[in-house]
Amino acid sequence: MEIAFYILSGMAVTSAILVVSLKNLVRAILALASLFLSIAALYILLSAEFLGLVQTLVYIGGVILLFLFLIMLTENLFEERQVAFFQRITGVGLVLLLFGIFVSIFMKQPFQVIPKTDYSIAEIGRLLMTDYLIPFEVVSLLLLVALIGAIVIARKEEE
Amino acid sequence: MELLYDTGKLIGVIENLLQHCKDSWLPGWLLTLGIMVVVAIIIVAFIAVNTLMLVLAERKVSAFIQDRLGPMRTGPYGILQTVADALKLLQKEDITPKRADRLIFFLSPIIVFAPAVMAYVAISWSPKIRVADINLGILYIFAAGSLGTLGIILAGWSSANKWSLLGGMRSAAQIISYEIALLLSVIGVIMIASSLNLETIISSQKNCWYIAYQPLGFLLFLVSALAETNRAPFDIVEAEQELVGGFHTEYSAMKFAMFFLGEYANVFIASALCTTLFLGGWQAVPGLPIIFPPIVWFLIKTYLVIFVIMWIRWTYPRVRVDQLMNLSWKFLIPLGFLNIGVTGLVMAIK
Repeated sequence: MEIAFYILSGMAVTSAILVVSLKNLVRAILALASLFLSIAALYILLSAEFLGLVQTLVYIGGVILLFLFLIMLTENLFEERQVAFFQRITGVGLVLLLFGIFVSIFMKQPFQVIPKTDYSIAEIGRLLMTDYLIPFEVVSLLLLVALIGAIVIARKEEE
Repeated sequence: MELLYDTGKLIGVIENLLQHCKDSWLPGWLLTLGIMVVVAIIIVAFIAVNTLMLVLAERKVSAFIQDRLGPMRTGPYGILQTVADALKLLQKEDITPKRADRLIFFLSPIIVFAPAVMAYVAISWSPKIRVADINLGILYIFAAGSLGTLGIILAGWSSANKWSLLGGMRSAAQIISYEIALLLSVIGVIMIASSLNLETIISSQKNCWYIAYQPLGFLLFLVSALAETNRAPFDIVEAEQELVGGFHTEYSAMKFAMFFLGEYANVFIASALCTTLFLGGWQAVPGLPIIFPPIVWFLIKTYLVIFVIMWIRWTYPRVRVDQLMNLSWKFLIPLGFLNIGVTGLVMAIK
C-alpha cells in the first residue's frame, strides 16, 4: 500500500516535471497523460474508484485527445517549441503563487480523517441531485458558457 | 479432459492450489505478483489465439459474402493461413522511418495494445470465471478503452508521414464524437439494472434480456462500438484508397502485428460487452434447457456478435468524413438522450 503510494507519487512528480521541461510538445502531452494516469491510480489506491475511472475517461480519453488534436491542427509539428523569457518568468511566478496558496490552505485547514463512508456511485449521484444540486448546475452552466464562448471566437475568425 | 467440460471442478483445483501456496512459505505479495503474471499471460495468449482465429474468420466470411473461396492453400481448407502470416510478420525487418520520433514511434503500439489487455480483466466469463469483480466494471472497460486511442494518434504523428498523420487526426475526431454516443447508449441498461457491476447486470437479466427493454440502446451501442473499434463502415481512419494504411502506414513486423492484435482484442471486448449488457451474458437462452456450461454460452453469443460485425463490414460501403460526424452528432447522440429520457419516464411511471 505505502510502496504503491510512493511509486505512483514518484511517477506523478516525474511526469509533471517532464511536462514543463520537454521541448517537444507532443512528448510533453504524453507526459501529461502519464501524470493524469498516475493521479487516477492514486485515487483508486485511496478507494475513490469512481473518481479515478472518471479521471481517466475524461482527462485522458477527452482532454488529452483534444490537446493532441489542436496541436496537430495549429502547431508546426516537427519544430521544437520556443519559450520566451518573459513567459518563463510569469510561469514560474504564477506557479510559486499557486504553491503558496496551497501550502497556506494545508496549514490552516485541520485535516481530520473521515471515517470510511459510503463512496459508492449511488451515494455520489444522490448527493449531486439533492444537497449539491445548485453548485452542480452552476458548474454545468459555466462549462456551457465556455463552450459557447469558444464557438463565438471561432466563428468570428471565419468572417 | 473432463476438467475442461466441468469448469466448476477446474476452479476447485485452482482454488486448492492457491490455498496450498498460501499455507506454504511464499510471502503474500510474491503470490499476488505470481497470480497477476499468470493471468496476464493467459489473457495475452487468449488475445493472440483469438486474433489468429478472427483474421481467418474475417477472410472466410468476406470470401463467402463476395462469392469467393478465400485462402485455400495453406493447410486443409486454408486454416493455417493466419499462422503463416504471423510467422511472416515475426521474421520481417523492423523499420523505423528516418524522421520519425523514435521514442513515441516505439511506444505507440504498446499504448494501443496494453489497455486492450487491461479491459479483459473486468469481463465476467461465467458465474465463477472472472479475474476481478470490479464494482464499476462498465466504467473500467470504457476508461481502458479510451487509453488506446491515444496510441493511434501518437502512431500517426510519430511516423512523420502525412498519410499517417491524417489517419491519426481522423481517429481523434471520430473517437471523441462516438465515445459520447457509446456512453449514452449504455446508460439505459445501467438505469434498469441500477448497477455498474457487470455481474449484477447479467444476473438481473435472468428473466428477460435487456435487448427487449432497450432495442434502441442496443442499436446505438452496436453502431458506436463499430466506430470506436475503427471497423468498417467507420474505418476512415485507415481508408486504404485515401490514406494507404492510415496511422500504421509506416509500421512493419511485430509493431504492425501489435496494432492488429489490439484491434481484434478491442473487437472482442466490444462484442463481449454487447453480450453482457444486452444479451444476458453467460446465461442460457431463456426457455432452452441448459446444455452448455455458462462460458460456452458466453462465447457463442460473443462470436455471434462478432459475426454480425464482420457481416456489416463486408456489406456496407465506407462512410465519408462529413457523414461520419453528422451521424454521431445529429442522430446517435440525440437518440441516446431520447432513449435515456424514455427509459426514465417508464421507470418513473412503474
